[in-house]
Amino acid sequence: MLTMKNILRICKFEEAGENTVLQQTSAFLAEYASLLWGCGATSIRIEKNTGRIAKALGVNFDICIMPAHVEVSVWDTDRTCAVVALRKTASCGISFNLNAALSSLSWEVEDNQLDLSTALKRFERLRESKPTGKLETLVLTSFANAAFCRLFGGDFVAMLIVFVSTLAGYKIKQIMLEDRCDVRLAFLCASFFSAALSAGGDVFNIGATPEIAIGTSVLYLVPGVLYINSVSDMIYGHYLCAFSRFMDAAILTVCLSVGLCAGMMLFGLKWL
Amino acid sequence: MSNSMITWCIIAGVLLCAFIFRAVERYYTECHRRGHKSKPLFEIGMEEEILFIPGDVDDEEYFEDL
Amino acid sequence: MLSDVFINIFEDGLFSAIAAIGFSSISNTPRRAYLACALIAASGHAIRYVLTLPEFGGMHIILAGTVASFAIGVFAVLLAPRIKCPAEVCFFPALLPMIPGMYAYRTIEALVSCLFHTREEIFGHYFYLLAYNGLTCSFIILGMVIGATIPIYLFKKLSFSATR
Repeated sequence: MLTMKNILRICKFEEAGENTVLQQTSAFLAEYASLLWGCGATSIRIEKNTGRIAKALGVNFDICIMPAHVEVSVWDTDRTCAVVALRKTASCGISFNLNAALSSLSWEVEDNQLDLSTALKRFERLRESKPTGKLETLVLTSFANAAFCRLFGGDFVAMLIVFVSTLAGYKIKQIMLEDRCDVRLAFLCASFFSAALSAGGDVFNIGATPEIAIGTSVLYLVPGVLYINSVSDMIYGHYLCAFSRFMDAAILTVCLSVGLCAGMMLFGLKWL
Repeated sequence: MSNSMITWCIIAGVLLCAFIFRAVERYYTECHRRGHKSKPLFEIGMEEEILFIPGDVDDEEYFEDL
Repeated sequence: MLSDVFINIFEDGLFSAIAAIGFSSISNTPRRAYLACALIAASGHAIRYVLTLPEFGGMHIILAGTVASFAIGVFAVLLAPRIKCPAEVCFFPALLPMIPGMYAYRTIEALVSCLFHTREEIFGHYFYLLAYNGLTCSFIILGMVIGATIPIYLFKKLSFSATR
């Protein structure tokens, strides 16, 4: 109820400018949480880190994490003034580097008692940080998939085939994502071409284990981090986030299997 | 050579062409950014530009006088 | 005979370490974490390999995966403060080679096959494959994450202040 006393109180706070501090804090926290979600942190980490910063900045705080948005509410100690900030989750791609840097920023804010403007400056600097080099990722992923082929019992010829097909498939994915194609389409094309190239072992009768080469050639596309994140969210009770991440992962898996099936069908291979 | 071998070769060829085309495209845009003058790899030209013979009447200029 | 087993275990660890580094580079893992991730992944995958060997009891893959990821979780919590990364930055890349990718896409392949076949027994066979692969895949991931999360609870203080 709006009594006279409450109206006076609101006026007082607007004069004192407390509202703007709260607004800035809530905006910072919402953007921080949005970026943390975007770089693939689990919901429990988002809660812990934002809570830590809010405590260090001396405000009361609650967060609502939804699959596409985060909402942060911040209020002062005597509960007279509250500000809510809502942000769309960032779409920066999974980055453990950013995750680690943002987590250490939250500890810096607490341990060194950083004020809001310094924290904001550091946050902006982190936001600009560059991802791992594309060529490095490409080569490492290809080696990884070749090693994976070995784990599944493939011989050296199969490893070589998988290496080449991963190189080509991952390059296609990189090119398509650079050109802002849809992620699902990129996954479909990458898996199709990887499967088709690795079917070369079967077509030309090279090596003793061509079927393992085809089976492992698309495994680099399996969104493992999303699956792990989804189960982790489920364990901590964030069922909506867990379901959303699971569906993201499942759709990508469907895309890669359809690409694989199409590639195998093209060469008349049986897949099951 | 069986059907599937031909299919495989076509797919590999298409991929190779795509990568080479991409690399060349990238090279040209890089040149452009540095300020060097370079012509794009493919360009749609006007008919007059390709088949211009000295003495041809330029349509636009021709009508300006009237 | 015994040396063969050791060579196999070593090979398993080595290749899963390469796989872990490569797959984690897709998700921009910091370079300082590469070595730790490789070590953790190698030990975790080797543990799972040993547990599933028939000579050592031939444990089911779900249970073996859970035990192996428990070990991964413990190593990750212990190593995380050294490289100043949160524990999940250490154990996610190490879990990636154990993600049952093949079960995941075989599930979808079985689904596609179901749609193509209408005769009851063939449809039933593919439906069985769909359920089998899907269930195995989900329970492997569930067991893995639970196994890796328990150590974080056990060493709560250590694991949440790793980046301090």
